[in-house]
Amino acid sequence: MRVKTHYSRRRTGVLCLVSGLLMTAARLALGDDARGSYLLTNEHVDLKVILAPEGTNLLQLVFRDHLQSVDRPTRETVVRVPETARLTIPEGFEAVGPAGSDLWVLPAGQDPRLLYLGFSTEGLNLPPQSLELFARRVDGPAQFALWQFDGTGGLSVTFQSRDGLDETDRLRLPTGAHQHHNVGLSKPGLTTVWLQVRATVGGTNAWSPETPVLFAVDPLPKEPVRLGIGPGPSEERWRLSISGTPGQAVTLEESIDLIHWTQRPALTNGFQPIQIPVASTQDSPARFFRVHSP
Amino acid sequence: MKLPLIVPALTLVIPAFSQTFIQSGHVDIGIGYEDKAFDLHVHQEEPLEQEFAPGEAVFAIGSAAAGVSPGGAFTSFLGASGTPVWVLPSTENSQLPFLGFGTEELTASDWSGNITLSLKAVSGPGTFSIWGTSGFGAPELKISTVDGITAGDRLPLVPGSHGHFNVGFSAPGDYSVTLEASGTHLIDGFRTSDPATYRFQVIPEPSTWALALSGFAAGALWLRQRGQQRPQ
Repeated sequence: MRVKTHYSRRRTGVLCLVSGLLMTAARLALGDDARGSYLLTNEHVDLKVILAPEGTNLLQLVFRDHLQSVDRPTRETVVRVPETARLTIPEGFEAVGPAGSDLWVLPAGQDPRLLYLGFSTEGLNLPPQSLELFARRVDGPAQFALWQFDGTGGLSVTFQSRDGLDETDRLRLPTGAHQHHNVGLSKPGLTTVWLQVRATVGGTNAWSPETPVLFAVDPLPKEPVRLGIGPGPSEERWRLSISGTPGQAVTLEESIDLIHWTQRPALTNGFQPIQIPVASTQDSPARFFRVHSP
Repeated sequence: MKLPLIVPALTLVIPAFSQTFIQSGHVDIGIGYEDKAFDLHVHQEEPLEQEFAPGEAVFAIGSAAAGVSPGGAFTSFLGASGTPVWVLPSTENSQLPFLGFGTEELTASDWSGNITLSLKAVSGPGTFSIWGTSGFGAPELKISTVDGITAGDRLPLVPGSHGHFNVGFSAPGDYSVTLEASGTHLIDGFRTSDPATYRFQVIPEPSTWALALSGFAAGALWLRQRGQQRPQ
């Protein structure tokens, strides 16, 4: 239950205080397995095709984070597109969008302020020319486009949702390689692009599941951060739940006296509410929790 | 007048046997850092992952790179519209080396700001340029020898990443390109690498090959005629 909300002119913030957690004689300890979404901002990542022979689908699409050297499920990841990505479409680029209109662009060339988003099939041992990426649908306010230029400015548009998406919206992915394209979104807000990859080997097709990629394009509509609590998987465990705008950083704090607060590492709202397990025992004072978003 | 035609023809056909020619696939000019010193090398990612010293590998640029300047914003470094150019594009072409610039061997948190790759020298039959492309196709020139080599001929690279740029040549032939890396290490301070020289072999279009071979044939004919004219 939200009992206090704070707004400042310089920084809009929300403080949520859970007062319903007055669990006398119960010691609470926050679990270390709190999971929010990972926010991609300006690093080099690739949407990477991997083999997943143990799953329902043979192929999967994940984010390969080169900075951290890890693969991240796209459902646990938010791509932040800041206002610095906003450009005005010049004359002659109607294939991307109407001249004079805004387009938020993650460029194919690295800009240290923006996410450097590529497409990778590195490490895959499949025949050449066997992989294709399809854009299946776009959910959200923005249209989505993907395009490239050759060395002397020749334009090649691969995906364009403005005129609908069909089988022609496909990107051939060379095996064992990677590539970079310009990624464009036409409006701010939260837009999810659903992608699917297909491998064709010996006349047989293998597919990845349709995979969501969530773009959080600034300025985002602000939604209040909400903090809740509910029963966990056992009697000695509770579960805190934080929800709000995907892509939004939130910080959870806890206190036993409402004066001294201990801050935990920042988390990021994603597709689903952040779930934080809380362990409880019989001999602790009451604990209070609040969540803060810059 | 005919003798100079022999020289370019010979230059094009004499191979350097001790070197590896990279004609396609992803390959990076790699920047590492070991023992407080930069290590510039060539990192071939496919078909086999292997590493070369700068002089051990030659980027062999085939006729798929041949094109013409589109003019406009490209004129200042590629020439007027229609001028022949040879471009290794920043987008992959299976018939050409997909040349990148890799700083993935560097730990990003060890560095303050970008790593800079500066052009120190170029030898070759034409001009050498490196440029990026904006989201709407405008060239973003980083390096060009059209106006000589200046301190402004440099490529900023994000540590712990890699980038792809367009690399252009104004004429076929062999080029030696000398680069130097620099950057500020948070513990070791500002560091500069030794110069490293990379080799590019730009193969002419078939029509240019025909011109070179005709020059070669004309030169051979000229030598034969001179031999026949010598007193026995």
